[in-house]
Amino acid sequence: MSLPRRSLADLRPHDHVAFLYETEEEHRAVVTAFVRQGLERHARVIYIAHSHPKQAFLAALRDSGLQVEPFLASGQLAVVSASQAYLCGGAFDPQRMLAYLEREAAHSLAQRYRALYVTGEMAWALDGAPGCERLVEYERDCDALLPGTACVGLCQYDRRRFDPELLLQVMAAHPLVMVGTALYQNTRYIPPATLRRGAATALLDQWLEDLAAWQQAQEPPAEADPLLDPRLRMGREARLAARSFASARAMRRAIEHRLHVEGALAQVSTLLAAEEAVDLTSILAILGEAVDASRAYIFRFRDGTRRADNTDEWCAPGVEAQKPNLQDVDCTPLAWWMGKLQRNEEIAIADLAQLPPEADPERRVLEPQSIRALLVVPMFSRGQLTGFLGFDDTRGPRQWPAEDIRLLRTAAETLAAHEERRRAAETLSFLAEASRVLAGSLDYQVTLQSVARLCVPTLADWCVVNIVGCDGLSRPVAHAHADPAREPLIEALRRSYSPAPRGPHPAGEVERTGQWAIHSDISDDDWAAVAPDAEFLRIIRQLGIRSSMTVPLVARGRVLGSLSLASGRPHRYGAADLALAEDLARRCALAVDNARLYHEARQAVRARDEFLSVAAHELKTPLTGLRGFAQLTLRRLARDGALDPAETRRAMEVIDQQSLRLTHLVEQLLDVSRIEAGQLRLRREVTELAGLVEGAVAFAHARYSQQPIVVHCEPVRALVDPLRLEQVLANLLDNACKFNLGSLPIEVELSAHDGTVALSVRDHGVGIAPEDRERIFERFYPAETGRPTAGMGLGLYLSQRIVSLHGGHIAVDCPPDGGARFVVTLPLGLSPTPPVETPGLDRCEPRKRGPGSEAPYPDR
Amino acid sequence: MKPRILIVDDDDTIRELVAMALEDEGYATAEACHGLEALDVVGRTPVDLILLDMRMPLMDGAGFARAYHEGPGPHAPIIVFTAGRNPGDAAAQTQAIGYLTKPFELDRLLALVAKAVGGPAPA
Repeated sequence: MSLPRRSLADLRPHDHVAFLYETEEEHRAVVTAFVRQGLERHARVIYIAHSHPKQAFLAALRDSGLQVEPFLASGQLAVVSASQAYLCGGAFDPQRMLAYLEREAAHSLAQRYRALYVTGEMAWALDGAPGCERLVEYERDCDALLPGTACVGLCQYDRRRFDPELLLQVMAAHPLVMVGTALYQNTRYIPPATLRRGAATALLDQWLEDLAAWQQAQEPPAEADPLLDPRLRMGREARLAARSFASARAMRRAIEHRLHVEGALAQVSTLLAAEEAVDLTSILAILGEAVDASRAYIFRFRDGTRRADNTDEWCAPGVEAQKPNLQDVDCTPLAWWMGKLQRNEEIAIADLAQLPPEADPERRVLEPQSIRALLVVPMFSRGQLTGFLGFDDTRGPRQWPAEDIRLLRTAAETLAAHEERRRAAETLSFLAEASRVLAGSLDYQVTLQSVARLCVPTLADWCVVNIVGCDGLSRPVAHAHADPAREPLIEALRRSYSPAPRGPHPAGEVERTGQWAIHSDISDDDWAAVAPDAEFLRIIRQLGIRSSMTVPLVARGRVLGSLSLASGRPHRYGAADLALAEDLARRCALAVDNARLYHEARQAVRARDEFLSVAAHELKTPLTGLRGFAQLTLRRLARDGALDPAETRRAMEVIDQQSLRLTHLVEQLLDVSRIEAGQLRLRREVTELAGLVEGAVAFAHARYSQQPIVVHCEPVRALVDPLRLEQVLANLLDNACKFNLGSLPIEVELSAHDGTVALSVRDHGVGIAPEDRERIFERFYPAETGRPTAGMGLGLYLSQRIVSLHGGHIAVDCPPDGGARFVVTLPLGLSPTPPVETPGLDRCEPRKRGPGSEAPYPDR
Repeated sequence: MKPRILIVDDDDTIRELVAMALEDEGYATAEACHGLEALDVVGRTPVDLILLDMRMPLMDGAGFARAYHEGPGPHAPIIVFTAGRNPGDAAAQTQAIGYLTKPFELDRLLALVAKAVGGPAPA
């Protein structure tokens, strides 16, 4: 296949060109260029002159800067007359002329020229010499000759002088046509091979069929057929030809247009079907070129608003771009326009001047863009109007055929589907990546930091994850900024400012309510309103936040913290982003929850191990006493051969005490197990609490005789389980005795008011560190702290559970003057009765109790 | 002069038991129920041996040993008794010359004591 020829410079040997010109300028320009090209390409050039004198031709060559003399002298350039070349002997013989060309071409090659360039003025054929009626025959044969001959032929036809009918036939014999100074591939060229192989019949049949099809497609209304008009009967033949021609041309245009549109759609679909990112401008270019538009563009609405941005634009050469002027366009006033889009109708404006009156606001927007005609279709995603796709024509009014509308519609749908698919794929891969990161470690601070980094810049310019600590305060544990240089700003915010409970960054509010929050357009004034000081405002301004979205981290129905995303762009966050953020937040919350559960489980295991070791220790102490006194007695028996009664009684007493102590320890362990199983039952009875307190104090005093205890008791009756409450009190007293230092007495107080009993025990020991005050009531907690204590660490846990079974509460505080005070508050559990004794503080004397008595053995 | 042995334990029964067993063998005894009290005792009267429990309120065995060894010498040897899992560690922590695990054999306690203070005093 030969390459397409688009200009004179593309000419190659074997080319056969019909040159039609209408002015002398055109003639001179083309002929001069042709000759120069031949000479420059080292071809031999023969110019066959007829109407233009030889000297004028040579002068034109010289004018173009060519030194013609050396070429003429060497014979590379020859100028001959038509009568010499074509009309040898006054008559034209095509075969002789062809032989002449063949001979000269062979001669040129023999002289080491690359080819023969021949151009002739064909006007000689108009002089009426014999044989000149064979001009078309000659051109056909010449066309058949050239493919086998190293020759380029340029046949000059002056359109002003030749009969058009003759020119039509001449042109059909040339594969290339030069019109003026433009070179064309001749679409109406009939190759000689077709004729020679007898395929003319087939070609003719095809033409006739095509004509019939064109005629039919034209569908002229029968009554309007000008052919039936008697006034036009005279020109019937001519009109038939003209109409055939016009209808063929229109049909051909329509078919070509449809092919363009189909081609464009196929191209667009192929591009959009690919998984990679698509250059939307190139898509718009394909669409725009297919319909010969001035501009093609995409507008997108900012999520949930009627504000639109021109996000992508293509302009035909020479058409001014409008994209920079069309950002953040408020479409609210464009009711006519928006109404059509909402109803999923296309907006086809053939002539902007013909807009309906209600579209006046639209006209005011479109006119400054030099738009004369316009076609726009809406873009929908999941039933939501997300934008529109359109064409402008700035050259003049035009109709928008159904094909163009269909093209735009299909492109919009394909584009929406592509973007949805792409978005889904991105979301999926983002969440997959997030899940991978979250599963990577049980240290949630590290994983949340990775998640924060993952969020920028895809989802946000700035991402902060807050976690609510056990103190109920929310703290940022991870943050990232798309611009790493600005991360120190967030760090500065975190260091200097506690999370604002309200305001444009509503982490606190979101964590309190568990509801997401989106701020679409945060102004500087909004920040100024909530900024605690100028430094805060300065940092915020540098961060440049215009919109934000905060979602709670929720796991097992509990809000664990929040994930905040912020962007420098207003209206950045919409429904799809929210769905993605909520999904991400769920995964983060799950990871945090898992990490916490894992941590708690590990801690529980550690605590239980420690408890077992402490419990073993505690059980071994009475065992040591038991075995020790038994061995001591045996040693004495072995030494003395008899037992001293007093010594033996003491030993037996201790053995009895220690076995009782063991029993109580075992009881405590069983109590814990009952409480865990929810099987600890109270046996409530109306009890005189003062008596109960006195009994417990007396017992403690007996054990710790060196510890002074002061008691203030009001007479109080309450519905309680006396044995369990005594267990609580014995516990508190035992702890107080163990930890009291110096000579200050342990203080015990019992009072009642408003249906509530308050029972407090205060020591003057080292006190309890604030961080331990809540936790000392936890099971095994004292064992966990590893600090020097005595006992299994079950006493306070059991006390707390017993008190709460009574519907009461136990707490510890540390008075400023030292020590610890445990306060038990209990409901009286009785219907209010008038006091039977004078209210006031009574001083109760401590009472002693024997060492063998069956009070619960206290333990911390 | 009878060797004087300090018994440090928060449990009254164990102090009573150990004191009786030692006195039966002719030793003099002193008692303390936690580390602070023990420091007080050794501060007032020197002792020849300290029998030390590990787990006590206010000041535990390790705390006592540290404070005791930081104080002016001469330092009496320490024998540790403990119900804990790692008596060897306890002994190392307190620079003890030996250890006993609760519940212990009285015979073994008395043998260790005799070795530490050079045999029982004449009855």
